[in-house]
Amino acid sequence: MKLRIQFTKEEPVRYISHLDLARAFERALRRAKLPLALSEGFNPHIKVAYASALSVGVTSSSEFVDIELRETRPAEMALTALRQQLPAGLHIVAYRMLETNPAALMKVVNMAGYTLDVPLTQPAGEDVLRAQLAALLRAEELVFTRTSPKGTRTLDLRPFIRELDLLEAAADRVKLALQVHITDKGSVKPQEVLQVLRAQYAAPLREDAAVIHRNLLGVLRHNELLSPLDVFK
Amino acid sequence: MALMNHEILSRVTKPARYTGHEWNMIRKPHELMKCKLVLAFPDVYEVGQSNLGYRILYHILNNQAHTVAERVYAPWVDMEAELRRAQLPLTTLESGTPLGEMDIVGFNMQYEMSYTNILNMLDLAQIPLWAAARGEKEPLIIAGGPAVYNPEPLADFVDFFIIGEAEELITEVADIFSGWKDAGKPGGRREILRRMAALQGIYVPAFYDVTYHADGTVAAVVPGDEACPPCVQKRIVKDLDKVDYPTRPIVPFLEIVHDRIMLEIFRGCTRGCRFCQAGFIYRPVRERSMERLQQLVQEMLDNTGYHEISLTSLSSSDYSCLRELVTTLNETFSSQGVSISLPSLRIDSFSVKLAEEVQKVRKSGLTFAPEAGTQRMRDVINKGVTEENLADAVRAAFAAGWSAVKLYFMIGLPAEREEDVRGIAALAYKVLDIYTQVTGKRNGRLTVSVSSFVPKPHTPFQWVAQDSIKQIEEKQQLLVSLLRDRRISFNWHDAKLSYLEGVFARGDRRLAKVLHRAWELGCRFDGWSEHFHFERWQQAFADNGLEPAFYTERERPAEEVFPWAHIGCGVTTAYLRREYEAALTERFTADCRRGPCSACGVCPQLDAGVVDWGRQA
Repeated sequence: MKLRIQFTKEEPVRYISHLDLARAFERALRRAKLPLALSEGFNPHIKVAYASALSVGVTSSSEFVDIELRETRPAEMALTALRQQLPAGLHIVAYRMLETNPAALMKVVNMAGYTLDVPLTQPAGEDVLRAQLAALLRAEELVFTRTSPKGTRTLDLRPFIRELDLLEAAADRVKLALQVHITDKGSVKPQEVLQVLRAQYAAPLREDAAVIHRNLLGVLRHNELLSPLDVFK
Repeated sequence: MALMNHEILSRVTKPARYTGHEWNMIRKPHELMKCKLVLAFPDVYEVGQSNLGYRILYHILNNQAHTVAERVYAPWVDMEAELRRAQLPLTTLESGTPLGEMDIVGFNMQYEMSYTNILNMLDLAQIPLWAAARGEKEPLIIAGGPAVYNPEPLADFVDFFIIGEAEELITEVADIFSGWKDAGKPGGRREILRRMAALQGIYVPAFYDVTYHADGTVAAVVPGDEACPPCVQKRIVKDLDKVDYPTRPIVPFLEIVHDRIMLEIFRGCTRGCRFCQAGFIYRPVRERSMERLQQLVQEMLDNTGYHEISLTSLSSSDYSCLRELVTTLNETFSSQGVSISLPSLRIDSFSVKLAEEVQKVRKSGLTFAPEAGTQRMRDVINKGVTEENLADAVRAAFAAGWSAVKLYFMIGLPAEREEDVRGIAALAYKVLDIYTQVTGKRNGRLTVSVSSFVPKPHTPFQWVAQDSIKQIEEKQQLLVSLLRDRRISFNWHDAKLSYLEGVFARGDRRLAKVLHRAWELGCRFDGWSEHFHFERWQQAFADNGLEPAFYTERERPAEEVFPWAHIGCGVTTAYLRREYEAALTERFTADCRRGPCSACGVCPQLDAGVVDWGRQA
């Protein structure tokens, strides 16, 4: 039996990493005493799969995880047991019981949405900011050098950016909405979009202090946006 | 630092070190509390959160109706810079309260080279470092932990020390504090310290006067207040089954050093290895009962969601019913996917069999500690292990399928000769030969880990001269040249760090100024090699006209008064001296659990006894 769960990652756990979150979830599942399915092999691990990793410092109202149980249980009972064991800031908002073997979350989820609350280094007019966003979206290519512990890599970010909107502009901060594609060739992080906006389009953003929230993980098919709870193939 | 701002947390590494909210974290309303205490650990979260002592105290203190205990760890250097730039005080994880607004701040003296972090944390908390400079509004600064058996280098910074096991004592401290606070704090700081000094196991350094001879050695340490005993004896818990154990330990989000259930199966060790301070200060041996342990395991699994249990103690194979315990735990819990680990195994084939039992599927590494390379040297330190024991043990391990073994040694032991150092390499090659004999292959892997011996107070070697940095480095170089083999990975400790550890381990009160100066010069996280700056320490000694060699490189005469002479761990000086003489004549002293009593003095002095379920059965 498989359960697909939609959950949140809120303020108390904002700064934990994806690995931390996965460990916290596993321990909650064990405390809930659910009959977890285990993998074969020398070092058996529980069969749990996430849709997409969330960065340290980012909250979310829309994360997804598939959990496999080795015995069938009434889903509502299993969920109740799990809810009581989740640390503050992790909440289950919806779930589906999956009868057949569904496609992995990672395979079906192909877009993410964020709100970005970004302090400004200096006041900027709303029109100016809109023009900068528009210019970025008009670009055919956004060359970006990504630095990771493994080294640096230059890539084009433009194909990953679906939408970028100005939601609110105040004197000292702006609120943006961003939608990105998640592909088998990778994706773009919200901070990277902010970095490009600042460095290449002169937007006076302090991306290091941005408050980022993921509000959407979805499946985009033929221009229709579906919830991962409704997509199994 | 729960209330810390997002900008700072976004810039530092591992911000979850500072944000709390872990499973089983305890929050209590401060307005209902009489005693608000901080458990401060002078190292990063991942190290401090692993400390069993603090897990126990957190649990016991928060079980008291009117006491709250909250945690704080040393902020890493990036966070320190952020706090200083923003002029924010260091705060507790649970409630974000500045340390200065709490009643008592307790520090864990786990390791001498974390003392600068204690000063740094006080400074970050905007609390005056020197005890004499703190006023009525400031919290009481207290300290305890293994290094407390020579508290003197911290004597000028700490209001009182907790000597020994704190499970029972800490609630007495909280009660006395609450009573004094309820009564309107009569007599101020001095009065609360006098009341604390009346408790067995509490040492108030300000009430003791130290005088020195012209040569710098201590002439006498005498109490200047009638409330204080001439010698502060440690506190112990006589029956471990009767004290609370943290069955709801905090489950961290971050991966910490000991990220598993720690089940303390017994306390103390009487093998009597002469170099080992833990073997003396934690006496007598007291075991938890099997029934109690099984019950604790179930509760802890249920409350944490961990699926690994570490059976901890100073020498796990010495638990009298270990075989039975391991078998029972395996039978009960392996179906729940729970695994058991056994640290600190002795060198014998029995231990290998046990290791096999607990590691049925995955053969991770196996560690043995012969400690010294020759039989003569092992006799000097009373290790009680022969080369045959080691050969049997590794043969059994290789036959059972292990291919990676780690051997742990020390150099710089008393009366060490070059042949003893060479003996380490000889033993390493012998182990590799056994691997080839057993398996017919030459792909064995061996880690040889060699630390430098640091003489510690309350051990038979408290009188000896520690090797100089140069001597240690020469021995390390000799081993580097002897252990050049692609199958061997050789690692060793920084000789300079061990040297300073030795200075503070056997230092006196005058070192407070050195510590303070070193901190001013930027020393902190000295135990982390990337932050260890020996030249700053040299300058700190020079600035205060003190010579580190005085504390380490000098054989101390039998009649010398030690700076820690007024602190007692129950073991008598006469016994330690006998053991030192036995070391020099390479004589063996048996474990009193199975052999005759060696009259160390612990049982009569502390009115306690050995609790050994194997012997009583």
